[in-house]
Amino acid sequence: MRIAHAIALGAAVLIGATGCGDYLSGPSLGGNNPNAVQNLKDATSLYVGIEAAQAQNFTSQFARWMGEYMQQTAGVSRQQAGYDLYVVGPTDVDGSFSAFYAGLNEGGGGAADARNVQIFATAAHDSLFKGIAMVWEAMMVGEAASIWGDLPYSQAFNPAAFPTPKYDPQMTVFKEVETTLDSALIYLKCTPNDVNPTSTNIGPTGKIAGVPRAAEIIYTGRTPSQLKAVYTAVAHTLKARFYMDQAGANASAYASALTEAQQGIDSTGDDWNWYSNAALVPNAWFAFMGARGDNNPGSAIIHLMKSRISAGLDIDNGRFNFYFMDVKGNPCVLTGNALLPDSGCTGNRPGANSVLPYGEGASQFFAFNNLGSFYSPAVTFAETQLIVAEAALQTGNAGLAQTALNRVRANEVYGADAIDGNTTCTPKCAFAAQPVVPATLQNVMEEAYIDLFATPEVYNNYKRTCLPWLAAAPASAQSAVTRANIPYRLPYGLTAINADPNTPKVGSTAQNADQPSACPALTYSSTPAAW
Amino acid sequence: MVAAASALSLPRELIAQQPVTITGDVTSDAGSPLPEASVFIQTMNLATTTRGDGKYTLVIPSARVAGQTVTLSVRLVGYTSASAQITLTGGTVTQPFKLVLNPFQLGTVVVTGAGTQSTVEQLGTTRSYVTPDEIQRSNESNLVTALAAKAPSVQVTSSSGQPGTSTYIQLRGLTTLTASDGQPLIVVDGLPVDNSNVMVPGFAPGSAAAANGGAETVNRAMDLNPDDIENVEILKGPSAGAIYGSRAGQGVILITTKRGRSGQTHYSGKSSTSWDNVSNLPANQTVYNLGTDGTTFSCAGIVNCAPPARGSSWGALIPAGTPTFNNYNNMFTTGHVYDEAITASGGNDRTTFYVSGAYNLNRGMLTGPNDSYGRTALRFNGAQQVNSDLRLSANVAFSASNGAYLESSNSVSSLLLGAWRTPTTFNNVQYLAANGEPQSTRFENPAPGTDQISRIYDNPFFVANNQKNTSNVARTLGNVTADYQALSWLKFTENIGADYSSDERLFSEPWTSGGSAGENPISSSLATGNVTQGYIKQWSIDQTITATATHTFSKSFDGSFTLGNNENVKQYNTESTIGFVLGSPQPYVLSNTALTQSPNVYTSAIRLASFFGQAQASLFHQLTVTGALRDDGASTFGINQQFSWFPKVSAAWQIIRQGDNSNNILTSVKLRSAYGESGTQPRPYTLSNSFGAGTFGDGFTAITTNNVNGQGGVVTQAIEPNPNLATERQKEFEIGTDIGFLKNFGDLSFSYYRENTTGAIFPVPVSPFTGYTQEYQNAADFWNHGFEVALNLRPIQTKLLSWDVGVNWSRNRSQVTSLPNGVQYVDMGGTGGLGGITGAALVGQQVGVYYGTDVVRCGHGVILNNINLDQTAGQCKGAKPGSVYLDASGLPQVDASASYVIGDPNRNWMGSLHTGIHIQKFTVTALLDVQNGGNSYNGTQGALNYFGTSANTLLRGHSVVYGSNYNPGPVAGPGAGKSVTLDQNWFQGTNGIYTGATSLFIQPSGFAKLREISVGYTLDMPAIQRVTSFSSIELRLSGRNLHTWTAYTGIDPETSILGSASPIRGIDYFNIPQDRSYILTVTLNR
Repeated sequence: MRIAHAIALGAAVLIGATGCGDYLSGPSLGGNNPNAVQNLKDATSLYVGIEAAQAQNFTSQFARWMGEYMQQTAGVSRQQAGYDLYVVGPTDVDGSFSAFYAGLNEGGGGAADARNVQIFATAAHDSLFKGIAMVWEAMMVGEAASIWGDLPYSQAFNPAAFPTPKYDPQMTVFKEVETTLDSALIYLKCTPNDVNPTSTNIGPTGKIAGVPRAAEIIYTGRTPSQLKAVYTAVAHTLKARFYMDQAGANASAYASALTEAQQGIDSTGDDWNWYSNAALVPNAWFAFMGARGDNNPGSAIIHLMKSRISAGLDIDNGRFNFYFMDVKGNPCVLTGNALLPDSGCTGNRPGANSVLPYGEGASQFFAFNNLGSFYSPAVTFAETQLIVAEAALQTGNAGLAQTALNRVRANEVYGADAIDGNTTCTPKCAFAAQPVVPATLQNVMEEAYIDLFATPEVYNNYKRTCLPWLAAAPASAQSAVTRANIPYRLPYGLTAINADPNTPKVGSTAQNADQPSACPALTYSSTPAAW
Repeated sequence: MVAAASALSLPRELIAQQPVTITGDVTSDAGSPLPEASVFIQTMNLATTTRGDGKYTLVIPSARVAGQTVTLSVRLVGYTSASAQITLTGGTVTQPFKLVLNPFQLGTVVVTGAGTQSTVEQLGTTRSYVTPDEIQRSNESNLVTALAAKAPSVQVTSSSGQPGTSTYIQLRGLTTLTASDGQPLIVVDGLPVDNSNVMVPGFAPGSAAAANGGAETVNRAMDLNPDDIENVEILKGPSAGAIYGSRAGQGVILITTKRGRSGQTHYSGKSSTSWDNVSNLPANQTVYNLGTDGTTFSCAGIVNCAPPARGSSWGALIPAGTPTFNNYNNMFTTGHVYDEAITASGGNDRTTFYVSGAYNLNRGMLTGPNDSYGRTALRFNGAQQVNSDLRLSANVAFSASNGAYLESSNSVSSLLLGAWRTPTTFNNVQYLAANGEPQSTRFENPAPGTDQISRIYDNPFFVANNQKNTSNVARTLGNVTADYQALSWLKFTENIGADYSSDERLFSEPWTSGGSAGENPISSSLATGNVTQGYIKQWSIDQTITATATHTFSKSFDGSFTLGNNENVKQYNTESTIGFVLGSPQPYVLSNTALTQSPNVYTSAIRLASFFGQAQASLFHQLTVTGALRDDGASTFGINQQFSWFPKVSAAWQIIRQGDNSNNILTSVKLRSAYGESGTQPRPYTLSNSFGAGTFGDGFTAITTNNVNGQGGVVTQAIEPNPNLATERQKEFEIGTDIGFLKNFGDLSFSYYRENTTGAIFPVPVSPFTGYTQEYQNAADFWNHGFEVALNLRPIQTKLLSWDVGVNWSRNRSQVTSLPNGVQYVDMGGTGGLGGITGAALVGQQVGVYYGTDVVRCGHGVILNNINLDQTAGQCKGAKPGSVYLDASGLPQVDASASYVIGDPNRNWMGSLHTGIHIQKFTVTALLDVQNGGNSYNGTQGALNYFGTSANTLLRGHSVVYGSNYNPGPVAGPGAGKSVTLDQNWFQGTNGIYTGATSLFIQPSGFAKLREISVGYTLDMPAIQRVTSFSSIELRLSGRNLHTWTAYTGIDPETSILGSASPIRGIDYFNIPQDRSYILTVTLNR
């Protein structure tokens, strides 16, 4: 009996419970992650993810750097105070840099996912969806190239073949982005003009089922035909934007930009604004100001807006009080030609806590502090028409420039707001028309500086035109990295540096190909005087 | 004589019916009385213990006295057991014992893991163990904390002085790079148990990192009652712990709980009370006022006052007579721990039992009602000898705990972040204004009706009285073991156990709390509160069956062979839901919130299936060779790598056996050598691609986008799947010796080890242009090697006085030898996202060095303002590499172009000095913990510099020469030797936390800490026994963490922002300080 027991127990020792075939690889084990979707039915939810991810990307730290560099905002405390003084390193930039391609932090939603949507769209023979996804891809890659210069694109999104993709020259990236947009336009032109569920083609004759309407968050509620039209306009505006980015190195790009912009967004109703929802997905500026509050209005934009008003170029059309309010939370009240600090709306220069004119904390944001549901602008009618104006000026067509500038000033809009009943911004954040002013380059660029507030296009415009006049943060013990000029680019992100030996070693004062000439090194007492 | 004669004349039967009383003294061979020795007659299941004077009394009832001869034995840890033959014929028998010192406990059977055992002399690895006395003397509620300074190479770091917060333990250095790992496997009575510390937002670990701000949390070993511990064996590396395979890469801690012994039932009751105070605080300034640029700002008369510069203290000198307040320490008070425990143990020849109940209530040293931890722990250990071949035993423990924690570290709602930034002229104690509205230094003179407006930095007294962050845990663990002696040479053991815990958590931020601002759709400055509610449930099941064959081949050759298998299932489930906008200030429940997000749900399952075998052969009772092999299959391994082998082999050679020689110099000598391999498993779900609901943040704000306009969004997860992940492997070679000398006047153990980690798993950065940013790979190689010495001396051993003293010393070095091609460093985290610094692995460096921003230095190839400093005369050219570059201002600048190794938290060496003096019934013990070398990051100081409240900022207005009389060290550049005046710009610029160089806040943090002092007295005289009916009453007065000698100027060199959730030590950013305790304990024994 004992021997029988021993034999039985010995068998148990040798066999155990591991005889089950799927003991180590069954449901919820190994590669079967129960917490995440592993197979998508279609690209709808992926598209929503891209929209949400990029809304955060374009309105969070990336936007804060752009605003601080352009002195539309000022980093007045903690990390933002350092950023305000250009203390921005690869570690700081890493998440934002990766966001354009792979996604923010540990999430995706970058251009790679735009490619993934295209794969789904191709499989579904959905030309409209593919075209839209290509527009998104181009928007992200092109914007990244504008800021960082040389980037991988021809070998991107293919980890098996190119785990360490080469960096294409910035101008090559722009050309490839233009090609992507051209392809997108072909898909967007597909016929028939409505859903064709039986089509098995893709491209000009494919179906245009497109995104389910609820999932299209930027242009909510539009039919496939309407989406086709609006994304076609967006594609042309983006083409124009990226031609403008090439113009610094190649003046002939102005003409191309003009051609594209004239086919671009033609109505403020077609503005691409980033989705937000106060309750669940608050505007990132709003969330940041609530959680951290380390930004103040920049003195340069306040000074410019006031001085234009005092010079009779602009009127106080409501935009000022939408952007800013005084330190006590009251609307800024302008009094004729009165300049700082008459109204308590002064903003901060770079070097917020140092001994500088106008002091600190002399003003606050209005929209960013109060509108959790505010839709920040991304690709707009104003940008499009101001490209027309600038490109027309650069190509000798002053009349067209004047017409375009007039259109912008007659349709003054900044973003949108989802909350009905909000009297400040319902349904759009529209302001009274501005008077006609001559379409000089300075007027055009100053209009862009004001209208495109807190968007990266202000920075791209500045790099190209050195307008408006801005002085770099002054040297001081606090300005840890003294500079003669505002930086011309952000550094590459640490992950790229760490993982890809092809990442160029670029000095902190390097210029990208789109800006062959440095802007004048201005000071607050130089001529022309910086703001 | 008459009585004796009468007795002799009685019939034998009548004599035999008299009881027998056996008494005697148990002393060391030097004559010192030995208390707590176990005296027993095994065959009669009778036992007692010696009293404080070494005396014992064992009464044998007359019914069991039959003139038989029995063996009376005595056993005491640290001494060789002894026995004597006693004939039971009635009356009183006196039997003294002299026990010979046995410092290595030779002959003792110790558990070596997974059902295997060995005698101490047969161990081929170093043995580190902690006795129950050492654990109880520490008076720590957390068992892991109680192990501090008890053995070489065991580094224990308590995260803070808050009750119920976590403690981290590391053995022989950091042997893995995965941030949440690095701690040993804990096994209780053969059952691997959970010791995790879930310290992440929303409670779900997933891929999220631990957060650097929020309520502190505890490591789950806290659920164990330290009073239940019989023994702790520490298997420091793979050479000892390879039998646990892929879970033993960071070592194993084997815990054995107390058992009942047959004989008289023993009862004990313990009651203790402590007084706990904050141990150390940074220095503040009380000279300069609120303001900026030397101009004082006053909030007097300003409603809802928001001072400039975030309320910093850069104003003018405070006028004489102005009241000032010490906002650095006024939120600390005296905490108390009340500890009550009862135990009973005993049994008969077939059944034994041990039961215990303990109640621990810890009211912390922070003001207010929300700093506490309470634990009720129950245990039953029982065993039944079913028949001569089969023994069943069961151990079951249950604990219920309730923790209330305050936010700490990097949160505007944390206790100290707002407190220590407060100007000294503001009285935080008055956290309610006269109109009842909460006020803080950033929101003074609140107007009525402002109770939903953010106070920016929360007033610490508001925090202490209004935050409610709780963790209610129920934990059950236990196992059933069957030992079956199937044949005389073959024994089977089956052990089936389970470990379950449920942690229900609540996290809240009230109205006005700065941490809840930005969540209200009306205004970003509105702070309308939030609530997170959820749970963490974990359970594991473990089954091990072993067969052990033993055989004696000859007098000089015997051996054993063990074969076994093990299955383990581990499940983790969590759910948390966040609600924003509290409808009413209280209660903190989701139903009181207006905006509730979708629940965050996470689950994971890991399975393990293993086979193992161990063979041991002993020759001439001198040489023992042991070999073992384990084959581990894990569900987290790649499909092509699902099983891995883990071998070990060791040899122990007793050159001189204790008692076998007449050598007066060397009493015993053992040489030992061992090699073993163990592993670290990949995290679950790294093998295949998946899409996840996107949560996007930029380090300052995070937005969950799983409900965008009513749509659920997903994104491709940024971690590239790797289906080929294999185990990370640790390979360790160890050699050492154990020597007893001068008749055990002293003993010495020495060990050298070298452990190579190969294929370390970590998320390797990949080019973001691939569409991913990381991929888990078996990627890095590194080594740890070190020495360990334990020396114990017993200089005085007399009847009246004995004194022993011991030293533990260890030194560990590590070096990263390879990383994937192109990867410059591995970000090991450790800061929870705190900027400017991270723990890192870089080739050629120790594991876990600090990596962050530095000032501009020569030799770093820096180009500043288009000047190549290293190649330019008058700049850095010709300067010593590493010299701090001073520009024309005479001060350093931040090098924003790159990150550098800026410090190393690893210690040069660790040591402890312990001593015990016994004067009759007095016992005095002391423990000094020394950790030499290493750095900490005093980010707190950096922030307080910025806000002008640190004592450092008293240097404002002082002229200094950088590198000479200020921050001495080599300098170069045009500003070298220049006298400069330190000002607000300096402390808020390069020397401030936000724009400055992190390296300026790296400080040396070696320390010596008076860890424990204990004075005990045992009352066990007959009068006490008569009056109280207790056999003894022990009184003990203890001090814990009484003083720390250190150059570190922060709260404590042992602090760590992520507690046990990260292996990176010393990150200090408004962490709660440690406490200093005085404890009075009374123990009643019967």
